Amino acid sequence: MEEFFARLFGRRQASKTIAKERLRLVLVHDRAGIPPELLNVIKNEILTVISKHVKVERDGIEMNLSHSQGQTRLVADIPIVSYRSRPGSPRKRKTAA
Amino acid sequence: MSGKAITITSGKGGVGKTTITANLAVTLAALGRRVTAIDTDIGLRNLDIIMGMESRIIYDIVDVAEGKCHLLQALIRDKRLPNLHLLPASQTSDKTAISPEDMSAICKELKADNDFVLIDSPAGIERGFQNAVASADDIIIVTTPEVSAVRSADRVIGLIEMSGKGPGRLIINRVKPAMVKRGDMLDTFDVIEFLAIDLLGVVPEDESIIVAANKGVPLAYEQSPVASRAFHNIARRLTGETVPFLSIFEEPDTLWNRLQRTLRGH
Repeated sequence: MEEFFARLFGRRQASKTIAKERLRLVLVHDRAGIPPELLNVIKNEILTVISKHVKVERDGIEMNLSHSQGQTRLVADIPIVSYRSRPGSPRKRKTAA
Repeated sequence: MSGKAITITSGKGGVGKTTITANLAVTLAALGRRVTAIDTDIGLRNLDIIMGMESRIIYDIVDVAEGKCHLLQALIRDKRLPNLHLLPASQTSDKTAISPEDMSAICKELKADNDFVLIDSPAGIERGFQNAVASADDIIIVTTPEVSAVRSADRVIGLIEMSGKGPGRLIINRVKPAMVKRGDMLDTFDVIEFLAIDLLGVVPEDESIIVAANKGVPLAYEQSPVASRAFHNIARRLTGETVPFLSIFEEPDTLWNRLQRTLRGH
């Protein structure tokens, strides 16, 4: 009954949606032959290289595989610490694809 | 004229390969085709149980490969359909007892006397799977609408394509229309979109499958259960007929619908 009301008020997400999202992610990794643990290794090595030249915000780093139009991409979003920007102004971002 | 060898595989275990092999074999035989089903799950044979032939095994596929008997001596004939045979797996040997060359030789010989040779592949992607795929003219991939099974199917489709046998066609097994309707199960469209291969058929979940397995009489002998209709349609598609897909999602399981189905006789 609780479930019925939860659904009635749109609070419960159909589990199919979650299944599709998880499947999409896992298939991107499987098909590229890059398991999450390897992606982590790649991420750390890229950071080591970039950190030699610029200071990066380690907490804000995002690196993912994406798949669209028949092509798999490694997308990295690496925020760089900029000393010149005023507090609150948009951060400069360096994106590598 | 030589027949066709069709391998039924899935990667993940427990999705219904053996049940589907048995039922397609029975249905194709009932349609008048000469059929031999091969169990290639060496060490874990099961197709004999589902087909109700477990007490009549004398020789198995390993005996044939090792030259201990002739192929014809190892074949078990179905009690109801004289044009249906089973070549059982060995229950004691391990998977290395058969090589891809053995499988090819056995399939070639069977194809000469059959319209369809159905090869029930073991789960996994090791030797047994490779053997089963090596001699296939056509491949059926079985999945259920679950994340784990679809993921395994995707991997297997990749391997089949790499071996130059692909891409094969898909059977989605154990679909529960009520769960699909309330958004708690991937539907046919979702699965096909992920796997990007042709659909061969959809088999709804049916308790009669378990009853049939208990009795050792494949469900396809009876026309009435809904899963049996699905097998019948798939078998006809295998013979080259164009058969519309079961509209299991348009038929809610109400008393009225059940009554109508009963009156229609299926």
